[in-house]
Amino acid sequence: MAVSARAQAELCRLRSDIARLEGRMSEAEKLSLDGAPADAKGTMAAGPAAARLASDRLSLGVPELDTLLQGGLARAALHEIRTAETRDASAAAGFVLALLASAREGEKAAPGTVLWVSSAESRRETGTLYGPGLAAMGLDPARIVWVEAARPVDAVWAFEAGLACKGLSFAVCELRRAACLDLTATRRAALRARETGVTGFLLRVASPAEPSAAETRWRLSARPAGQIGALANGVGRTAWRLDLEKNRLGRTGAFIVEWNGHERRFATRSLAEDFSGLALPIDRSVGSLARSDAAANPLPLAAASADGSAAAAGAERPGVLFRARPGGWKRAS
Amino acid sequence: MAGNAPPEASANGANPPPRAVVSRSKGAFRLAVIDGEAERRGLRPGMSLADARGAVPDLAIAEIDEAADREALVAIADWCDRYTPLVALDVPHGLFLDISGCTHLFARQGEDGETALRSDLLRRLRRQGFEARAAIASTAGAAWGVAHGGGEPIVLPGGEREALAGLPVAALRIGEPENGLLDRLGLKRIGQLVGQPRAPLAARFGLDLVRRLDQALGHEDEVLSPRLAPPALSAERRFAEPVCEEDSVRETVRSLGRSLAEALERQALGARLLELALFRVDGGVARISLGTARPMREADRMTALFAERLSTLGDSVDPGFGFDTIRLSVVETGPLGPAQIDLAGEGGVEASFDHLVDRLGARLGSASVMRFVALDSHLPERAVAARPLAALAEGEGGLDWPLLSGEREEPALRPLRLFERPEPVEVMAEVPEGAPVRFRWRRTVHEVRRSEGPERIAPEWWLVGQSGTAPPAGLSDERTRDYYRVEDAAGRRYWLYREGLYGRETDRPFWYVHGLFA
Repeated sequence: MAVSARAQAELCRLRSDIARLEGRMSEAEKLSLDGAPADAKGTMAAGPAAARLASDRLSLGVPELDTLLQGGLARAALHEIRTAETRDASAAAGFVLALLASAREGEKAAPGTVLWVSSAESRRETGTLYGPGLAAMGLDPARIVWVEAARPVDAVWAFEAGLACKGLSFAVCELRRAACLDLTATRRAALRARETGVTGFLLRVASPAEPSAAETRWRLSARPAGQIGALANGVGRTAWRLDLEKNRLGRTGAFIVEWNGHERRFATRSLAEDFSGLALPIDRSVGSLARSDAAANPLPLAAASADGSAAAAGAERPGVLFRARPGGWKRAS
Repeated sequence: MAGNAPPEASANGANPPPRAVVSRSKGAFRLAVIDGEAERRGLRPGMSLADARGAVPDLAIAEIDEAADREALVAIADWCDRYTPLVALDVPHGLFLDISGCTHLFARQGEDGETALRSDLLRRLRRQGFEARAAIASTAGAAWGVAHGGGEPIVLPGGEREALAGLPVAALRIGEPENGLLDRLGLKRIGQLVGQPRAPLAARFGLDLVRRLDQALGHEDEVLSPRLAPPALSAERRFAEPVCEEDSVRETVRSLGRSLAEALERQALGARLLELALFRVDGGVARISLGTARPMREADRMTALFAERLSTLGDSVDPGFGFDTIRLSVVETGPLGPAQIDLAGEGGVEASFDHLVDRLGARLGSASVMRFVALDSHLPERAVAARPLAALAEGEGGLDWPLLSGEREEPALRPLRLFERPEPVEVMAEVPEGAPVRFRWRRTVHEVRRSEGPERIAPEWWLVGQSGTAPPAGLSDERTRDYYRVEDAAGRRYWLYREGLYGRETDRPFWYVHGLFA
């Protein structure tokens, strides 16, 4: 019927309007993406939409992660990184800063300015950002504009103001659990980010997984450092365990990532290497103590070995892990 | 022009009891200030309280509170800013207003500016409950004399000698001893002094008297020191009906901003520090100042910044019964070329960053927006400073950061986060000068799995004792520190140090955690 056809068209238009407002892909674009063959290596689907996406993404330089994220973390979007404990706050800050240091600015010649918003509370709990330490990670401290807000409300406001500013490349907000940072606030922040093209990172310290408008949410904890050269005893490359808990694109997973500040790039570490990282060198005086400790606390990670398709993926990507859950085994990637 | 404003307002009513403020001097209470009723009943300032009580038994007294008096005087001075930016205090009870060039603004039909200004000032002060006297003259001394001694309140230029001649010598702003001496010698009127030879006067009564005389007559310049620095530019609007709505205030700021912007553009200047003064009907003045990252002169931006600021100040800017005058002043300026029409649409990015810095500064305080500056020190806590962005001059970034550029890959030797005050930890080490094996920090025991160190950092002995203040615990100026980068069983990395060389500087070294690695 003519009426129903018109209604259908109207409905279609409204849907695409909503999709545009929410920053999702329109149905047509989605179709073109789905139609393209998603090959086993997980490289980007061909086509104009994919090309546009690739330039809008912040590649981590780790194939496993980039595949999962279809080319990297979306720019002009909000990403959330949370830690379960206050003690990991510094590790989480380090991961975000490493991301910023690794970001290759596409069209812009100079790496952009970063707004870092923190609260007075986080300074008491975990100290202030330390310039020489930033430099040691490979990030130029002069890029950072640091704002300290007395109240969480002000911090959230400053974060949103930063996301609304075209002159910035990134805005980071570091907060402990705060009531003012609800779904509405994150949605506003995500909208601002999309309008201006600033990428936002929300660092939530000692916070449970809460609903938010973020594109991705990661849970982060510190891992024993990786080895540099032959110095097995040394405290080498910074390492983190990343659990991708939420991904708008659908797939999640767990990774152990190391940071190479010298080349400013990430690298994954396989599960076996992670274990070896914990094993202590023999010539250490504290060896006996440490070994007994490791035996008492087996790692909450299990090696990848599942049905055929997962095995294929796992074999190619040793860094992709599977998570043991109370409800049984679940494929994480 | 000098005013006299006793803080005790005269009360209205049928038959109020006489009131007086007393002060203690020479071991006895004496009347310092009295009201009109007390004066009518024969009391005089300076009488002892016992005498006054004897004469007027129902005298109500209050002890003098000099701090509150001064506060009230400062508040009145603030309010007088509506007449001229140059207001100087004359403690305890007076104010000097330099009204040169301001009077024409107050001229009304049939009344010249000076008369109108004076009557407006007195009327408004009376309405606020202050008794005041005011006089206008070409010299501060003459105005003070006429205000205190009486006579025609407006002294025309050149008429100082005539106006002062009949006044008592106390009207010369001289101390009590000179006054008493002159009185005993029969020199009761200023007119008698004017003709006297100067040398004997100075010899007898001190140079002060001669100087005061010269100042009053305009033979010698007198410099008033205004309370607030006069702004470079200012624009203001007065309202017949007071305004209280935030919208009206905002629109007023916008239109004032426009007129300032024009004036600034003519001089190729931009505003770096702005001040908004809101004069309340009841005499209160709210002042809001605002710094900007770069010189600017867009009225819309000024409006947005002040709106931001007003929204955070909230109730502390209480309109009360409304504002009757709003003034926007440019306190500091910086060079800013004439505006150009931006055809390419570039420069917007830079401008938007400046806007952001200004907005953040307006709401959070400009000191909270910072940038890291490398300093020349090998002590970790002195190697970097976070400086407010607004205070950093163009291109001032301190030293270059030692970025990673070596051939070999190195781990991060400095922590990502540093504690302002190192936190003490209990450390177990195998030998006193050895690496830590286990440490307790914030009530948790951490087993050290791996460690690297020590990195020995000696104090800056050439600077010992120069900082003036005692350093916090653990950051002693005199002890060597041995830093260790350690990793605990959970994979978290800490920067620990032992303060003091074992056996040489101390027998019981203390341990601290100074920073956290990523």
